[in-house]
Amino acid sequence: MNRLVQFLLLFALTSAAQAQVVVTLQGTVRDSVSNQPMVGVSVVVDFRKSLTGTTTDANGHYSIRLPIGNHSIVFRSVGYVPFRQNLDLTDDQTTVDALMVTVSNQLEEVIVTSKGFDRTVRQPLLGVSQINITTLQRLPAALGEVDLLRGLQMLPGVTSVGEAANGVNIRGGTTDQTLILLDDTPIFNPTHMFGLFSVFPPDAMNGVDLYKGNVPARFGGRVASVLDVSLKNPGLDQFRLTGGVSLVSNRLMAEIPIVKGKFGLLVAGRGAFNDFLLPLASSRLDNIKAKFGDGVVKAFWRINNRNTLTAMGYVSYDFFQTQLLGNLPNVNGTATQYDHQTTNAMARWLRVLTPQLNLQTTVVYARYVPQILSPELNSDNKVTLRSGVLQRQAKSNLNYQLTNHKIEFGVDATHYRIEPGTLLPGSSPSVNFVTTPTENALETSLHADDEFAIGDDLAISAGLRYSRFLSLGPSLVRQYAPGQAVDNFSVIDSTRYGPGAVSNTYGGFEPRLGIRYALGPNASLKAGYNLMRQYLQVVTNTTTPLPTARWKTSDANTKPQISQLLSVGYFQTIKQNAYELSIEAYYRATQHIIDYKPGANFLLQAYPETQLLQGRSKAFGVETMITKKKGELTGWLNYTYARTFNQVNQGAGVQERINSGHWYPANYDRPHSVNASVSIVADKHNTFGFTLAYSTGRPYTAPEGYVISQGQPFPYYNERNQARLPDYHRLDFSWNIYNPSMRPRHWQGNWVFTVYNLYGRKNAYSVFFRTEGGQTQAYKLQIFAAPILSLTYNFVLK
Amino acid sequence: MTRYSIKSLLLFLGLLAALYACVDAYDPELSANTDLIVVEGIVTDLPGIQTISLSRSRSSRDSITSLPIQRAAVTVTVNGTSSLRLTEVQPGLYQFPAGFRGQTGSTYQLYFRTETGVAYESSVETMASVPPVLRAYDEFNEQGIQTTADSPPVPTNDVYIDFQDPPNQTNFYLWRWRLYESQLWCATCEQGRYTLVDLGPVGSGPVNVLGCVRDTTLSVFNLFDYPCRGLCWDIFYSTGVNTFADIYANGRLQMGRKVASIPIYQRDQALLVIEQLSLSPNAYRYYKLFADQTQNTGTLADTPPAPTVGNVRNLTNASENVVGYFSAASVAALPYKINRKNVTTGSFRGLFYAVNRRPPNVESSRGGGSVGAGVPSAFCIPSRTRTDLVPPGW
Repeated sequence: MNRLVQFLLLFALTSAAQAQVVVTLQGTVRDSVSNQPMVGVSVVVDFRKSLTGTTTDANGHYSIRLPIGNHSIVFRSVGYVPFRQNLDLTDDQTTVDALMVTVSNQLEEVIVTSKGFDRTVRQPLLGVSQINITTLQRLPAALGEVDLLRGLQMLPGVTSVGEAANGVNIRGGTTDQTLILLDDTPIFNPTHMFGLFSVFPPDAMNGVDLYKGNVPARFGGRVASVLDVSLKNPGLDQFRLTGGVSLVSNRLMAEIPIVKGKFGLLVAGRGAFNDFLLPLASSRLDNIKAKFGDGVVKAFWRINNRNTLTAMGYVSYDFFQTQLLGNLPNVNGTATQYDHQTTNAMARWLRVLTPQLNLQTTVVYARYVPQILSPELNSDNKVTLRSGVLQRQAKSNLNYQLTNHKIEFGVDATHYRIEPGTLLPGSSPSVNFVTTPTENALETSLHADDEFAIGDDLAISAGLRYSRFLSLGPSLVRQYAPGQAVDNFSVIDSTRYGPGAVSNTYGGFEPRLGIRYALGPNASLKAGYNLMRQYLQVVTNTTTPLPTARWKTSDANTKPQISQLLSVGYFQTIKQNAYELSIEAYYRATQHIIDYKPGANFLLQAYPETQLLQGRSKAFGVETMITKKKGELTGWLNYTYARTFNQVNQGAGVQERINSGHWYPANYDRPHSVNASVSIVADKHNTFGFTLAYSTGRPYTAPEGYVISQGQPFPYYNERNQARLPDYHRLDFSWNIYNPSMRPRHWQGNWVFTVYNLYGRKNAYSVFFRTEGGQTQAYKLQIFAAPILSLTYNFVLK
Repeated sequence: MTRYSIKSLLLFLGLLAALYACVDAYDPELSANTDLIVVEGIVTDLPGIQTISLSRSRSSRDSITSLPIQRAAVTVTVNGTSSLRLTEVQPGLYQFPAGFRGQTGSTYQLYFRTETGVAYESSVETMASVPPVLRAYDEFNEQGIQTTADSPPVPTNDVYIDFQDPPNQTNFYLWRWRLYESQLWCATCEQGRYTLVDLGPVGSGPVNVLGCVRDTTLSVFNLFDYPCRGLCWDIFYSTGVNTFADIYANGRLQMGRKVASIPIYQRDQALLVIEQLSLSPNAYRYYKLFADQTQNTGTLADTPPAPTVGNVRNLTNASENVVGYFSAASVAALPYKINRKNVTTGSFRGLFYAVNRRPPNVESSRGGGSVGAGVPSAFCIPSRTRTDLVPPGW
């Protein structure tokens, strides 16, 4: 087997074979209070001598091959106090079990950190952030809803276009260039209520990894970054009920051990149906209707010591009606309603082949169906525009742990089925049934990763992915006259492809490399290089994609995006890991970014390439962060300088280039940002949190002049994104009150009081111009423009 | 129960701030610097005088001006053969020859050469036919519209129409309207008094209208308002761009197309003349983009604006962007009486108040007696925005 794996590895630089007596150390890591097995705990052996480590699997189990002799072993997990043990390894099958104590029990705080503890310094990957859910829950949240995407924006390199942004921009990437995974299933629309809340179920989240620099080779398909959200596994030993009531939503989660130690079920749900209260607040809110909900069911079955099966189902639903969103053009409706639904499912089989080798096979199903509904006048009928994205995926990973190597090898196949839009008239006599051709595509990949050390100072993570993309029929593919603008007039021919026929292919290698060079025990230098390819993207011409924005697979007329990222960083820990300092710099170049022609319309457009332009993008920046990780006062402060520019120049015509073909700032180009977060543990019952966010305003397109027509001045626009919104800043406050009566009981409750935007800064989300009453007036649209108070009650029953 | 009342209170604080009342006027401190030729003109098949307007809009840091393009040589070529020469009747306003009326199916192309010799030409526009408006009806909308983006809404009568879209052809529509509202107040004098001199028998004979005669005994800011002597209507014109394409509705009966939201300032009946125009595909695209950038803004996901490129181009300098669209449209007009019987709630302070933001101030009596005694009523002077002739369809 060893030989086989080595054969599979494309770039194993050193061999692990050494003439030593090697034995297997193994054990189980559990939470000291709940006694639940802990997943993903890092197990580090002999930190000072060499890089040897592993992580616990889904059962909290680990095993590691070590030479006989004295070793020191450390178990670490974010939010827990490290568990240390020295041992003299003598014979085979030595077992070390660990019980981990959460830091909240020790008044020691561990917060958002790059891969936790000294991994920042030790790990060869850079630009990897692990977000601790406890920290996230303590961040002051808008309207009391714990929100992953808002929390992420406190980290360097993560921005958005504003409060109602439907997604985040990471290191100069568009929102769809970040792959968002919820337990391996892709999330196509990450927010509820049009950007106000994240769709991730707050109670059921287990951990979040954000890869904004080095991306392991097992991830692919998006060019900027990966946000990997994992959900909790159900506890197998103890029933546990948690929940909460906030202004916006009500939450409940149950962990039910069905067969103790063998089979457990986790059910979590969240619902917001309070919009019936809005008209009570003001009759002007009559026209706003909003509801949302999400739910998770997760089952974990430990078949035996060698096999586990995990299954997860996730649904998310939104309904939203407001005049703040545009209506469905060319349909005579009285209002516009949005509704969108996500249905994701995943099943994973983990087979432990040997203590060092395991095989993980996963099948994924993801379906996203957004609709725009247009109620008709004096009728119960709603004209519906429905679109859909269906992704089905199967993948298999082989993980092999050697003394000095961590090796992963995998295969992956993904089928995409995009229904770009169908207009359903219902009983309407006025509207025709209109549909656009369904897109089918297959993306396959092979990947391998190896993480290894050369000597004490150098550690390398080398990965290679090969991806191949097939655009499949049935389809009608147009050919356009070369050198001419791609529009309905330059079509010279078209080819019809039957079902399953390959109309176009793309593909190539995607190398990933991370290097760490230790400058002593507390500091390191890192460098990384990534190449990633993206075959599925959002095509939209709005500032932030609408939930109904069109997804488009690459085809003969739409090239895949290819991005290369180069990054370097310096990392240091100070005062026994109490402080952590990091400086990272990056440069990213992307080919074939998607832009659009002036006045483009993608709605029910059978040939979106006639509305699109492709260009290139460059992004660069420096991210600095200092974190205090221990003590009663913890927190971080970061400053980021980041720029993103696009260039689109497909031809000489006004319709084929943007800003005369010059570089122009992207919608989310915000050069300076400063984020600070402080958490103070006052006593056992009270913690206080403050967050401060500042960033340069984003660019927008302002009129260059005015045109007087029929006595009224109208704005005249020319260059794109040549003006900037005012700077954005905000201070938030939160106060957590824990279990007022001290004793550990079956019922534990806590209150969270938050004030979002404490000093009521009226941050502009957008600036727009209206001609009214003989003049053109500029307005700013503001969201959360006043201090927003909220109170949330959370409870745990066990 | 208590929990819900706290919830609704906090929701009020929260969501009210979050989702509503979040638009403020803003000064972006832009330094405008453009000089653009603006062409406006739609050739129609309506009877009456037809004109094309040529102007130059100049904007700088502190001013926006519109200068007429005078003494240009303007011709419109019909069906590629006959050429009509337009004459300048007002500065920058060029009139078609008397008796000209567009015809469905004919093509029109505008050509003009400025005084300085720069020549411009439009694309060839074909006048497409337009189906008639079958029916118009209105609904009272208490929420109404906002006259400015940050103002409270004004209740409206929302006017809808039905029409039959013709099958087997792609149609593009534009709607415009004019509204006749009865006006009771016909003159306002600033530091003056409205004066009529009887030429014949007092009260019934001809009069000589002197209009507002200055009276320095009054304050400079003194305003006196005078009621109309006879029937008088103010005319309002649509300012928004309302377009529709039948791409999802070809050949279907269209019902409930909203063509106007008429603010209710008074409960008197009013007359709306709805005009349904046919557009060419490119004219539709132009108007749609123009509408998206000037009126469909302020949403959570605006389409970033882009240059609106019309169909007139400089024959020697292709890079000059000429604003405006020369188009040809067949027009189907329908007068519709808004009787306002469905206006169930609200108090309305009248057209005068709505326009002037104050109640009328009647001149104190001339020569003793009760207030207003001896004070003359004013004549209704016809203009583009006022008429004393009963509107057809009233």
